Amino acid sequence: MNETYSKKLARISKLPLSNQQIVLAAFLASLFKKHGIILTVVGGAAVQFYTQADYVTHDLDAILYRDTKAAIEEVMFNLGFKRTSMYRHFEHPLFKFVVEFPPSPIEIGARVIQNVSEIETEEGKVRVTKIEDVIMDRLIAALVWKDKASLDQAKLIWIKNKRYIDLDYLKDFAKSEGCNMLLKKVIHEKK
Amino acid sequence: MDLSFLIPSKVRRSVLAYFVENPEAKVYVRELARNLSLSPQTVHRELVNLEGWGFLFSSSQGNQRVFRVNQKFPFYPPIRDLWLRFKAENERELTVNKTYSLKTMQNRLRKIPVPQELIAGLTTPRKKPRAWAEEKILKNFR
Repeated sequence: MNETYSKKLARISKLPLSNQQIVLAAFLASLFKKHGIILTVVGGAAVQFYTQADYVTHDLDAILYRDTKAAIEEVMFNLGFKRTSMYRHFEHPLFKFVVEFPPSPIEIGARVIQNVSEIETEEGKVRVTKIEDVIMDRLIAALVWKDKASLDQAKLIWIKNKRYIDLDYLKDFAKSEGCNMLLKKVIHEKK
Repeated sequence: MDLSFLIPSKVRRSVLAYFVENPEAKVYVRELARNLSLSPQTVHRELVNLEGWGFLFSSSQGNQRVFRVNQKFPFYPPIRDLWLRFKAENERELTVNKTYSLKTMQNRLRKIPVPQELIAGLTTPRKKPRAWAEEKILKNFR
């Protein structure tokens, strides 16, 4: 493995949980960009970032666009990641989580997501699903699977990020997914 | 995303894609290999395979063979539709509409405490099912 890469990975692995995944994702994004591939962080890793690791996940979900098979292998194997028993999951001895590449597009409920946010890190910029979409992802899980944990995560993301949230977008999305009542529970939190 | 779950060979994906996107094309092996940045031997093997399946036709021009797609091949229309659908999906452009600085975000979010009543929910296993093998992998990290 390239020595610069291994030093970078070692440094990232020592970062606090609150930004370890997002900085690793930014590093991976910079490598995939050389192949013309765009990486976007979705799912639990986005929740972990927006809650600053009050919620911790064991998989970093990154969606890639373009023909990715060869590029995934080149980038991940060069960094010393190994494929797990599942085709899309990679693990590395330095990290206590797996990196997963779910298939594109980014779908939340019935919507295909077109707009994302971007985080500037010391390893470059990385795209992440918008706060509103992450909340909706959790609300839909809470509704469909009657999952209180997902609802609590949505509440926490709201509490931590409400000054940046586009409430009209969120209400409209919740209405289209039949989650109005759950959204009310989330946004009426006083704390 | 790509079609590798359906067509594991990158050469086959590339050759199929070329003919689906250029249905009128008549190409020589070397020309196609150059176009796809693949070796002529690999491309030749794939062209012969696909001709054997009836997806391509070939004819002689001088001392070389020219290949073209058989648009009457029964699965040509669904293969074309599938490919074009994947292509459109892969070329989807995402728009970035907000940029945050990690440091600023971190400083701001850290100051906001987690309400007591939410703490338990953050460590409870989720109810949304995962693929069996994925669940098994993640167990090792918990």
